[in-house]
Amino acid sequence: MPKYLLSRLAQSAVLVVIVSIVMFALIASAPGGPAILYQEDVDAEAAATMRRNLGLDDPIVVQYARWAAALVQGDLGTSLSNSRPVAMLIGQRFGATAQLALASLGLALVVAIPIGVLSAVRRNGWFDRIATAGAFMGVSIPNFWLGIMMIVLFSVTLGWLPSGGTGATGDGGWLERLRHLAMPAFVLGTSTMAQLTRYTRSSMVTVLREDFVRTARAKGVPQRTVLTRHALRNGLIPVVTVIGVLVPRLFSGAAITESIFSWPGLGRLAVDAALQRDFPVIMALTLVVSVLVIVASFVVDVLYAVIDPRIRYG
Amino acid sequence: MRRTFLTLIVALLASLGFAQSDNTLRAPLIGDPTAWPINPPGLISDIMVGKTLFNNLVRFSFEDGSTVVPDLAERWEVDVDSRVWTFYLRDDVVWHDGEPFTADDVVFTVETIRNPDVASRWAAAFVTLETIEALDDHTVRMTFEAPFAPLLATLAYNLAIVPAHVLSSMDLSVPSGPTDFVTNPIGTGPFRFVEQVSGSHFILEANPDYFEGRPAIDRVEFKVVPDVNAQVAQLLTGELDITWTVEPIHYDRLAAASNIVLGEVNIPRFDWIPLNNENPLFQDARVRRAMAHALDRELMVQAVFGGFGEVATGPIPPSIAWVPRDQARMLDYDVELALELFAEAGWTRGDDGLLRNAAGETFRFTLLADRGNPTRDQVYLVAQDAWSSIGMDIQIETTEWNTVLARYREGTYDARVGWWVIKPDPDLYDYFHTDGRLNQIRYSNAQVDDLLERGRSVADQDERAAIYAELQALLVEEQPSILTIYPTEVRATNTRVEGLPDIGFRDALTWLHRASLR
Repeated sequence: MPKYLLSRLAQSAVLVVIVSIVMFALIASAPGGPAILYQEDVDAEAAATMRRNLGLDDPIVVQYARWAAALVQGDLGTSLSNSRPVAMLIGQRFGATAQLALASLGLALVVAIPIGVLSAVRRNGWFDRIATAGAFMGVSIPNFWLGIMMIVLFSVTLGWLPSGGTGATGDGGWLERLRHLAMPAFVLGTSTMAQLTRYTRSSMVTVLREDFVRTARAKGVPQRTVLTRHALRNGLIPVVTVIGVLVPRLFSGAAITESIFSWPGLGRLAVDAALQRDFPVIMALTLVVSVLVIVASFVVDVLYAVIDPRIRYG
Repeated sequence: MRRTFLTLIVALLASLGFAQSDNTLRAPLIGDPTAWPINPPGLISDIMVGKTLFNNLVRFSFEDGSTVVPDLAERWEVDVDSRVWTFYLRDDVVWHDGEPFTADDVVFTVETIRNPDVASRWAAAFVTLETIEALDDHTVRMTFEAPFAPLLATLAYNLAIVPAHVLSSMDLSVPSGPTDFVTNPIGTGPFRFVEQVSGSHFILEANPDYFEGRPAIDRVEFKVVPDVNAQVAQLLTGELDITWTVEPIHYDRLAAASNIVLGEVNIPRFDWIPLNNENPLFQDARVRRAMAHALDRELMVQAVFGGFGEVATGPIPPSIAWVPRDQARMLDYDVELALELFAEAGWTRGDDGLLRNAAGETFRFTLLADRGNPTRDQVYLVAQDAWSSIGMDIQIETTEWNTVLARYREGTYDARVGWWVIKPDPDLYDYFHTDGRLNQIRYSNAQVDDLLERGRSVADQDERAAIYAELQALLVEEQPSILTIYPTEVRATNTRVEGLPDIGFRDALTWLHRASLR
């Protein structure tokens, strides 16, 4: 296990360096430049001075070296767009993103796994048909539409839930925050929920046909035990893989949901930074997401071993 | 245990419904603001928080939004030929950190703006400034090489005074401001900085030592709400108290809400379709006038702007009321006249309906567009439709906003859609003078240059009015770019907000200390 861990770590480090170089080159080759140089009322001369002051006239290799050298010393740099330290920007937004990502994933798991299992057991029954229809709807409904409809219904019409923000500026109580979290977590969770339902169902359908399930039933093991002890453990392996892929996406790819609900998350920060060519922010977010992907896929590997006793890392 | 339970019940009850009853004004921003008034990096959000944190020497009046009234300077004098200005500053002003405000702060601010390494966009105001000196702690004298008539309007517009004692030790060449200042901005304004969380909010509290008295509102919460639909939803639910600019698509919904008041104000803004005057197609004024005649701008006001605005005559908007408008002709919607003008300029319609010149070339150009602003999106389409229907061969090229602005500046474009919100003064030197720093339409006309130069160097307002009336009329005939609309600004406020002046929101914010919440 330690040997495996070390080699994984080394591979990951190399990967992060490659990703950062590719990213830096991509930003440098994109047309336009940092938004601060392209305000409509900034003239060409002022823009040239700013460009020089930002060090953007230096060769790209020099710029990368400067960025990497600062990073090694733990400095993620400051935003070109607003002079705030990148670490501060990400720090302020990470909490909100983690809340939203975990809440939507939690919601998705709680809903998707029981429904998926039940659908598999009652395959082609009425429950399965409804669940399948629901899952397809969940995948197909665009987040922006669902978000706006929910705001219209639950905030504007019924007045039950706040339509935006995290509640951090109000009394800051947990209940207030929960009320702010409800709609964005549901909206972000819908497609995850739908995908997980389908994966759980198809995986369970396969497992329920396996010999060991038939054997367990033949031995007279009760249905409930067959499902939870024998089938579910095996059925969840592909589901865990999918979760491993979904987690980084939930952390970084929620820009639309975040925009609709004015949620101060990393997804929106990433989109804004990309549009503004705010490269210190883009680079830092690239690192954060790369690390998340690596950690998530590592956790998935470990979970395999926990769920399936046949898997061991030597 | 019982107490915890009670607290819980109270919290639960308190959280139901959101009609805000605390003394906090909640207002939206479309992006994270940066409190760096020397060179606001993201412009509009930065200027909005700046108006509440800082003061200028002078400002625009509560009543009409264009008369210049005292702010940090309680009075001023100007010598006969309008070259030497003396400002007498208030002696009861303190910075948010408790230090006294003095003439040194004013000198420091102007010197910073003039420093070429700072690359401030406001530097153009001071190109003819010879010296600025503090005569004593509360008197500042500015001496110009030549008379500069728009000085007061320029000072009132966006020139916030910043603290010398805080900034003099910082690196001012960082384009978006020194980190230590933007993370803890110090001003003299009616509200002082409390907290900023990226993507979420920028909070200010009433400044108890404000020189015009403590504001009636305790707290101002600028919330980052980038999506305009979300702004409207939050306004309807009472989570926001105001939205500064309502998009036409939302008028009806907001007008129907019982807790919302809509208000329309005139602002110094002109909308236009900038043309690259270096493009051979656009070098004949008859062609440019023909393009204006071919565009049904009245329809544009109704269909695109929801009736909030009027058709533009020249670039000087009617909110600058002291410039007479009677000399400027309205270029009416008249397709036949447009075709006649094209024919005079050598462009006639062929069998395929396309305008062609003697060499058989079509009148082909590209409208450079971006996606995202709903109003601009519609103007592109209206213009393309109107102009293709009389035979112009027009393409729309959609690209990113940054790229649009980059090409606009470099002159690698044919036409685009844009607008300017200008200072409430007809001095349009920056935009139309051959040497204007924002003359991205690359226009050059000796007569226009002469009028613009005279307009800023004459002190007498009547004389200036005559000059600018002539300029306005000339620019209608010249039509260096197609002037379209003077939109009004539509603001939506919760009925609990009282005491905001009926002027453009940028200047209304300088009077926020007079507003209150019911």
